Amino acid sequence: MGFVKKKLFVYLAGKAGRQMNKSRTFLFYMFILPWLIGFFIFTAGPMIYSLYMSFTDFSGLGAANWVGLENYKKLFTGDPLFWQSLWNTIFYTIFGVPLGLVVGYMLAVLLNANVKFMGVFRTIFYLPSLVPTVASSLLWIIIFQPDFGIANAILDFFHLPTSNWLLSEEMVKPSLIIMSLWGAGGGMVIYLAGLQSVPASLYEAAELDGAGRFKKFWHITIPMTSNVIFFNLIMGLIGSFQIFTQAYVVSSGNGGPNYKSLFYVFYLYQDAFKFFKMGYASALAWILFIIILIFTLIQFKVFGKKVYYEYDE
Amino acid sequence: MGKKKGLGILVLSLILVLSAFLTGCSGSSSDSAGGGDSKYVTLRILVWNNNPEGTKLEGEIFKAFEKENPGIKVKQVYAPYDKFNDKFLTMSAGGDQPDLVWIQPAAFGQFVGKNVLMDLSDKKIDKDAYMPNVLELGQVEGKQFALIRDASTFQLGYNKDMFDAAGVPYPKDDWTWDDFLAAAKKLTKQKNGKTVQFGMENFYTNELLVENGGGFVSQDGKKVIVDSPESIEAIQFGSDLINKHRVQPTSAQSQGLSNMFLAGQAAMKMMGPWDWADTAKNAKFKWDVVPLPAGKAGNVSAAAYLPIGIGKGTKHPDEAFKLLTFLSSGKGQDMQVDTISAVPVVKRNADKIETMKNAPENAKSLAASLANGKTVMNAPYIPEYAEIANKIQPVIDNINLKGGKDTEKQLKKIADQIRKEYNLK
Amino acid sequence: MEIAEVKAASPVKEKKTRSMKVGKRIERISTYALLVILSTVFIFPFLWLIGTSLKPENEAMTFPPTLIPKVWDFANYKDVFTLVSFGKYYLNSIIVSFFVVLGTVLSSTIVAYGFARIKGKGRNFWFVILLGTMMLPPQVTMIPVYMIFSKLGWINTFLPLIVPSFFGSAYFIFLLRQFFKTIPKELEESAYLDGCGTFGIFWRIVLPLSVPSVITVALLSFMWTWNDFLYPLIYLNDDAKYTLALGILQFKGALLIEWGPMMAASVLIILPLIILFFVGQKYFVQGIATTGGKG
Repeated sequence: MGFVKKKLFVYLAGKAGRQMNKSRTFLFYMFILPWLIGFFIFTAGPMIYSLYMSFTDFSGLGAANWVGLENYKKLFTGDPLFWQSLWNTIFYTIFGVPLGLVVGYMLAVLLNANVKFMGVFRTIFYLPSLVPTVASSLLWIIIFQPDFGIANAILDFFHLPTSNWLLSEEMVKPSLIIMSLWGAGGGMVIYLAGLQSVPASLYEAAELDGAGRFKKFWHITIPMTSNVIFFNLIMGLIGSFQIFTQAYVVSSGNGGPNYKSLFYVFYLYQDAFKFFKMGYASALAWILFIIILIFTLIQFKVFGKKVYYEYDE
Repeated sequence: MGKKKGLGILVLSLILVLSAFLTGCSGSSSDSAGGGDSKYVTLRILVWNNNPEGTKLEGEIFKAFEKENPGIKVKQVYAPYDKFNDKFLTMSAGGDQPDLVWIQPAAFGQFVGKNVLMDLSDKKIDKDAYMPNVLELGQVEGKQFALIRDASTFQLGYNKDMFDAAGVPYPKDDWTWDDFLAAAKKLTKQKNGKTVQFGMENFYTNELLVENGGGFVSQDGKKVIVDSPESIEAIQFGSDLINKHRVQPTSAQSQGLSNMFLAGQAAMKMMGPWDWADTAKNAKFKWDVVPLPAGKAGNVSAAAYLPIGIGKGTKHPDEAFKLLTFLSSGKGQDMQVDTISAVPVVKRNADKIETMKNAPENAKSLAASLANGKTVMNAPYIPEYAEIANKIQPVIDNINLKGGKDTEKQLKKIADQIRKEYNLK
Repeated sequence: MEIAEVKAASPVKEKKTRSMKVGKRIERISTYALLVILSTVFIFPFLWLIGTSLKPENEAMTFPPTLIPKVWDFANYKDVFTLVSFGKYYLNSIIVSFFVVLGTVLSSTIVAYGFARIKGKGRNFWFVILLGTMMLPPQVTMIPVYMIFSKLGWINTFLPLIVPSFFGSAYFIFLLRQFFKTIPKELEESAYLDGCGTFGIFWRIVLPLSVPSVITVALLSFMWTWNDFLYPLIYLNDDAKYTLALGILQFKGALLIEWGPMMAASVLIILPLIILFFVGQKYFVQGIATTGGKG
């Protein structure tokens, strides 16, 4: 491989042309070719297949019969759990994503300091993202245990009202958001990589101008890392809309109490593999697809322009 | 020029794609699915497990089968219980269906309805070999779609030391809800306003319904019965255990504690033979079992069983049936008691239950319950059942949580909703 | 906190007063304090995991739960090695993860470069499609994807787990695009003048400048592959081919979960990840020298 690449490089390294426009398009497609091929072989077909299935009564087993818009009609008019799970998911996203973004960023800034043992600290902060969900969920159940859990013990200590947390209809979603913050170290890694590529010279220049710490943070650090902040925002959004595993484990697979932790993909999963309604689940999936797409495009419109790129044509 | 450059990148891309296949190939090894070796017929059976030991020991039974049938090899394919349908559905859709499949009773109606299981009605089945109510567990509308390998039921395990300390006589096999409640009350202890010992760990609503002749949906799958007087009484009784008599912890009190019985915090618990080994190993007290207390329907309990079916797509139907017979009425039945501590379903081995590994003193009561047909099937094989149960359960959870003051009203409401949604009586 | 990272290199700084140095020291101390306090929160679950893995079964679920086991018991670790083919799972996980990382890094960097810096017609369209592939819940495409691999005869091999990564991962393509876009245009232009082609620029200029982000991609894709159990579950049938994450699910039975061995296995599974992360994060720092110097 190395040899081939070298030859190729020599071959390509000839006199580069400025007459790019047309050949640029060609070049662009050559570069994205691996992904394009993969998309057409492994992704496009299954996506279209699931779109087709959303118009059928496919159970996951056996034959599928065309039912037209039946699934979509049922979803909007005759399924309270669709609305409940959608609301749960939007609630989780609206509060969880910005919080996760801020906490992850703050951690990364803290972990970007040049002090001894930083490697150890970084590793520790990343640990929660490594512990398997089944194990960490069990721990959270114990922490949130109303009778002897640490969460209530702390509230008690400050004479604050305690809660039933995961067993409470009002608190189950906030509890899950708290759980997710603890895994903010995942996003931290990406921020760190971003922070590291901010040129030190910028800070030096700012210092010469007498900029204080806050000013440097606000006018250099944040704009210079907006590329990764934006990435984490978009991916946080897409991921949050598909939250599923943690809620599934802490509610023992039923989305309780009273469906208050039944998230959208959780419900979709139940429909697909527990109730054998794959067609209906596919309809749910495509509605979610459209919702996420709209949210993402809005983010691109609102924030996309504010992202700092060195090179953007 | 640009074209040439592009060509170079195209070449690179192709190399990349090609290398994907090459490296991929070097990463894999040996045979692919199916097992098309000409000398052997390979049967694949899709199973879940209770623990890794179980999976290994299960293998010994298959080895015995292979020994008896030299031309056939058996291969276990494993999927964890809560991801079992994911695996079965993808395998089936991909035309790679396993020859035999363990079936979760809640999914049985769907499997039959969607025509993925072979109809065994015309096969030679030794019907007299089975204990009562066993064959029926594998039937839908009179047709046999699965055979049962083990059938058992929940009983009540109790801490003898606690009974002794509280001066409560040990329960008898024919005891009733009243007896149970009286004992549970005496076994509940408080200290500084906090309950430190509960009479009961968790009485499953499902079992209470069966004991009282109630349920979610009637056995023929045509009628919603969760608001019948029997069902209401049973659900109310369950809620009262928690909220009125306080002999059983609330969900807040028990959350995160997986086994209060073993930890010495509850005097009684629901216990099946599958719990015996764990209890025998870890209990620091004397314990025994007794049939569930009787409501209006007597000392009955829900059947807990394992149906095994043959995939319709199998290329070896005869060999598969041979294996199924071996497991459900043949030599497998003689082996499974000792190897995997699975309760047998054939009459000839009923007495083996008493002498199973780790069996408590009163294990004979389990044998008697099974031999006398005291187990009840309470999950009708209709496709929508899993979904219906999933809608009723939160209502019951809510009743248990909020104190059950309007049990009847709530149950009527959900029952009517289900009737309307699923066109049931 | 950024101050800490700017080393006193310029002569201007030396003129600064002593109070600055004291301030710096206070800042350093408070940074440490904050790090240590937060560390206890973040390390707690891991300590608990280790604690539980060392408890005998009857202590694992007692009231109130203990962090440090009363009796130290390594039986759970023994169970992990004797009850399942743990060593074999390890090897399988290493093979699969290695090839996935290789494939992901090779292909995603190339594709991301295309999306980041070559403005061809239809670029925005394909970029939206790229993001779109992540928006449809995989639960509904699982069956058709399986059907494709089944047609290819790849079931019960590692191919369905490995090969797709050679066609790029949407997540990492997007991530790398974000990084590639921040590299100064002047560098490219001077490379053009030096006679570099587009691929040369990518290979000679962009990749070396992107070491931290490429390391990030490699680390993340390794860890995700290592911990994923769903795809191995769907595509592998033989116990001998299981990966770690799938293999340890066997301790999660239908009726009860064997927490002790489960936790012990979890510790053994994430240990290499911890080491890998610890080693990998050093390259974040190395990145400064490269980018900082040239920027």
